[in-house]
Amino acid sequence: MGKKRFFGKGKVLSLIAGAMLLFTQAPVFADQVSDLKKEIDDLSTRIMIVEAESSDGSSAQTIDLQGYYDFTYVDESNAGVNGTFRQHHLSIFVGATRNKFKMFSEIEFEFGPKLDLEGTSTTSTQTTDSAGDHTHTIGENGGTNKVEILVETAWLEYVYKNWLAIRTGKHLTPYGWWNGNHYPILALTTSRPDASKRIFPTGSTGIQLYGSAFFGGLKTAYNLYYVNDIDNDATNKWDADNNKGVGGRLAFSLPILNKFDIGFSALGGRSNNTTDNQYWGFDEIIQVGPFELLSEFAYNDQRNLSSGVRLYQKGYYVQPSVTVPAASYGDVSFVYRYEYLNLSSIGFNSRDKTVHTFGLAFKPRPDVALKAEHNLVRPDSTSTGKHKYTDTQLSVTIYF
Amino acid sequence: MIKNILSVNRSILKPKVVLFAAIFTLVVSVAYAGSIAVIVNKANSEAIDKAKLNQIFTKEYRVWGNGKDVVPIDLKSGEAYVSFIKTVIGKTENQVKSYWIQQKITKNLKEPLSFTNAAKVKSFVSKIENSIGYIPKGDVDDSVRVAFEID
Repeated sequence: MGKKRFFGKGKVLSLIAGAMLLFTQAPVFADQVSDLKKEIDDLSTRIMIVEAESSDGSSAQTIDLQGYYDFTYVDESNAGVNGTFRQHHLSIFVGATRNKFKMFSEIEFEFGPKLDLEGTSTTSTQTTDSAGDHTHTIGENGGTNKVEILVETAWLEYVYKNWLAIRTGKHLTPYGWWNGNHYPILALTTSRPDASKRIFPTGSTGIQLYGSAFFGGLKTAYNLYYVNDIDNDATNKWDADNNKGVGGRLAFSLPILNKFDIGFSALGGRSNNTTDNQYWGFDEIIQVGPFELLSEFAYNDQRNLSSGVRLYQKGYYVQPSVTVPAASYGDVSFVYRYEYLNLSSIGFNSRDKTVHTFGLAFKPRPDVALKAEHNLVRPDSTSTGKHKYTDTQLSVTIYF
Repeated sequence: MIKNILSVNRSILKPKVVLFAAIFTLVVSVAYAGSIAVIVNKANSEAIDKAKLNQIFTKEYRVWGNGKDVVPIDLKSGEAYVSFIKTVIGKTENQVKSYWIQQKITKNLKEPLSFTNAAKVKSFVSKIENSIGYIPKGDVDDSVRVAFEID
């Protein structure tokens, strides 16, 4: 009996045939492997993008939701009460980005409002327009029972280039520092200087162009806007007259020190067919190491068209501060502010208000702020019944 | 043999160990510190300098010259991240977080996309034409273009 061959003729032929099949198919396999590799690569990139976007919520298909909350305790020496707790702000920001289009809105609830349209509220008024539509205005300026529900901003913008973007809707008037940064998590004090809110109109509805240009480390930024009647808060739905406002701001960021920003603002227009207004403003913010100097100046020249009477208003504040790390517990800021406000009808010597503020802000983390301040106030003569007084304010804020 | 090594006079060995450790630390620290490469996609030829880098990563400069949106890519953490924000942005980590809270509230601008390691940053930048990132210099290869170096 001969040795049994492991590789008989049949098996050899099969092997040869198999090898030929394999080698002729090799280029096809190689192409397929290359395609698969490319597909794996693309999928990996997509996964990376999704992972990164989902971790920071920046997916283009999501709605962005954020907000802040603050709680305040105020003790005013001549208020006649032993301090007041305030659930002050609950603000929700809603935004969405679709390629170069961006929408953003802030809805603010102040002092825990309760809205009851069936009954009456001591802090709401109802008006009816020519079309028969009713509007309930919750909250009035002044008064001790003021509550507020407010759409503070709601805009849509398209960013074409760095030097040109167009924004439509209701926006914060671009002047100064405080108006755009008045949020409790950003400001070092609980109180806001009157000069930043009682001269320029704080918000308006219309169209705005803005942009920036860069020259090495120097940045220049501009805003130009055309809006409804500037002295009338109730023009988001319908401008009651043909009066419009035109305004602008020019700002420079100089590449010196840690920060050196200055800005110039102007706004003009006719209001209610009764008055002409011109507003001018200047602001700066300088940072050197832990030190910061923030200041603003605002001026208004208002002329009554029928009587010719002119109303001059001016206000300013100067706020130096120093921020130091408190070991591993966070950052502590010591702040002082002097503010001056004059809403005089004739000349600049009457009805002026001054405030000295001494404050402390502690941020255990960037999205939480605890603040305390003591104010020495000499009110203007519009604050009837109030002489010099002091107040202490404590607040806690969280951004989410 | 090991016994012989261990039995070497410690008075001779100790200074050498200390010297070696010092040199090693110095080399490691020098080798890392400042060795950051700013990378862009190979199709992106726009010039970058330190000022523009600051403007890009603070989202002040948001559109490339060709009209496409800039996509800056950060590292999530680590020495390269800390070195970058200190050298280019001029802020501490907490200050950067505060800055982005301000940008989100006032302009609805979010912080840049971020990845956990340099390999992911490099992979992303090599594929996405309008992106820009930074990685340790030693991690650079020819899949991306080095637009700027930070020493």
